Amino acid sequence: MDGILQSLGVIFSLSGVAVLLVGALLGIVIGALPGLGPSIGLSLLIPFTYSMSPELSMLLMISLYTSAEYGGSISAILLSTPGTAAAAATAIDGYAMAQKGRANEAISISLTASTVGGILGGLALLLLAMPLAKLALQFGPAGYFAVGLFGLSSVAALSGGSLVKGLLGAALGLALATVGIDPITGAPRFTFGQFELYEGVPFLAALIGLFAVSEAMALAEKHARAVPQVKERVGHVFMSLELWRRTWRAMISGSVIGTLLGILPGVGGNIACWVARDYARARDPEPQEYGQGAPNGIAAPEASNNATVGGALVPLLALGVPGSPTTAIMMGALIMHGLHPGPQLFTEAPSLVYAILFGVIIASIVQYLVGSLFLPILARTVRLPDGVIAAGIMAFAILGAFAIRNLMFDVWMTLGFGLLGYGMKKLDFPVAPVILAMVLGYLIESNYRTALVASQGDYSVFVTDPISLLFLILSLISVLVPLRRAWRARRARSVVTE
Amino acid sequence: MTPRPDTDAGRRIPVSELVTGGLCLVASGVFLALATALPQGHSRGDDGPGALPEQIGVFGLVCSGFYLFFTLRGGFPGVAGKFTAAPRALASFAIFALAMAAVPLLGLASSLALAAAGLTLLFQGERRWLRAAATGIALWLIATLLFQRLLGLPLP
Repeated sequence: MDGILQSLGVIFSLSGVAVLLVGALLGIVIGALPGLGPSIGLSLLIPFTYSMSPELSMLLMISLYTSAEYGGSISAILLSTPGTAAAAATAIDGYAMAQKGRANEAISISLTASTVGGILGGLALLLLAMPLAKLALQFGPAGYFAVGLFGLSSVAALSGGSLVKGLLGAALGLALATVGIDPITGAPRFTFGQFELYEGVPFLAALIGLFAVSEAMALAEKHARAVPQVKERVGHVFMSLELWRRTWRAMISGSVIGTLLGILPGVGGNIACWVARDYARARDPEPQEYGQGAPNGIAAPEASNNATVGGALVPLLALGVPGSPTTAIMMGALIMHGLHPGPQLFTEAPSLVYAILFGVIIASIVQYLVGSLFLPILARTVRLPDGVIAAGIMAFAILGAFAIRNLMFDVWMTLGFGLLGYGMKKLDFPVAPVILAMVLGYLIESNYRTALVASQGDYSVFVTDPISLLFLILSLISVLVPLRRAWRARRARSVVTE
Repeated sequence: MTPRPDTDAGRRIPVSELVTGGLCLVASGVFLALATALPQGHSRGDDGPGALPEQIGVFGLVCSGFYLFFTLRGGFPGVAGKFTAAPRALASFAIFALAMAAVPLLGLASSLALAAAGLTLLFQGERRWLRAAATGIALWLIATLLFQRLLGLPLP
């Protein structure tokens, strides 16, 4: 009870409200800028949250995360260019509505559906995280090792076109996670005499480099983007009662789909938005309207992509396993504050846990207020020239890298990772597995070796422990399902070719 | 190795993928060699600090092998002009790298401002010089007023 009261005290304090507002403003802007998204926004923001308490830092990040998911729909509706991958489905009906001079109406549906999705996802988080965490307290080292592997198995879903490239990325991340002092014996590994590496490769340097610097470099490839012309002036957005009546079912179904898919490792808003749209279309009495500016074609995907935020935080809080790049970044931020997400967090830092649990719901409400009141100003950011965006990202990335430990070494590391990330982008290597493996590397290695020491070197402990066996089987399924899907798609393609 | 006729026949094997596959193979091999040189564990049952790195090295070698195999089989089709814009991206990187090398002389805030202005100049558009100057000045102000003064970041 004390934890609940303390967390509410932080959320409704002056600084709590301020970080929620700042997070919402930044999130909407970052989400609205095509190419940027919550991962890049969070990676640029984390270094500046050091001086904050963990509660305020997490509130800021959650607020940015939820609002960026909504922000992606603004450019999707106004320019037919989704700000984030999770807003891709919204672009179809949203842009069609905007073309008919109903951009304000489309944005009002998107904002309301995002808020409903965020709140319902947050409620699911509130209901599911604690019972699951209580269950997870029974896990031993072998079980935790398998849970870590299960988290890592989402690499299969995050790999995009090529599983082998995703696995190589994961191998790189795991290799980077082994740099520094060995957690069991204390022996330095792969430090090459650099004292800056004794604590390991700075996670934030890797994060900022791989996500932000590489994106700035990719932006610099373009000579100039024609400054987009938005036909309609965007005003304040509030949904009419008639629209509420037409869209509430799609919002609920989208929220449920988003929450459930968000919990699964590797499945985020970019998949949930399409599933929710298809589901809403299949049950709509006027399916022919889809693609022509159907309100439910915006409500369902937008509710789903915001509901994934609450869903994705369930495994992070309950098991200490991030299921998406964005939650991996949040896990990294908690580690920077000296905290390890997982069931122990509920007893070690209850006010922080409740701040996160309530934070998702409150951040969704703040996002609604900020989105409704400041939209006319925020919508102008989609017209920022690429050169200014690229220069801004680079400058903030470098300032953030320096802020990690006030060392230029970290700046150079960030630039190095930026070059690596850009190379990976050009060769279609996904960067998310690198980050996921870096975050999970410690959990996997320390529990793997502790389990072996406890069993005196008996490897059968990983299959005799029922929790470990269960998660090993789930990991296998998690890898095999996308592989089977890819194999079937390839087979179908070759049949069509013949 | 000839590509299988029923799948990817006729596709060109991209040199970039071949080079990357080779690099992955070499890097995995080097990592494995470094891992085997790590000391043994002290406790009974503990394989030592090299245990996981060795497994990662072997895993990397296997994945690199598959990667090269798929590349040679034509699994990664080349896209024409994929790297034509890369020099612009590398130029933007070089601008910031040079600026960071100049930090001991100019300080971080001024180096960043100059680099940001330089990067903005890479882009075409109306009033380029004005935009570049405005971007540089704005970022210098953000670095010094917000980060140095307000957040207390000891910028070099």
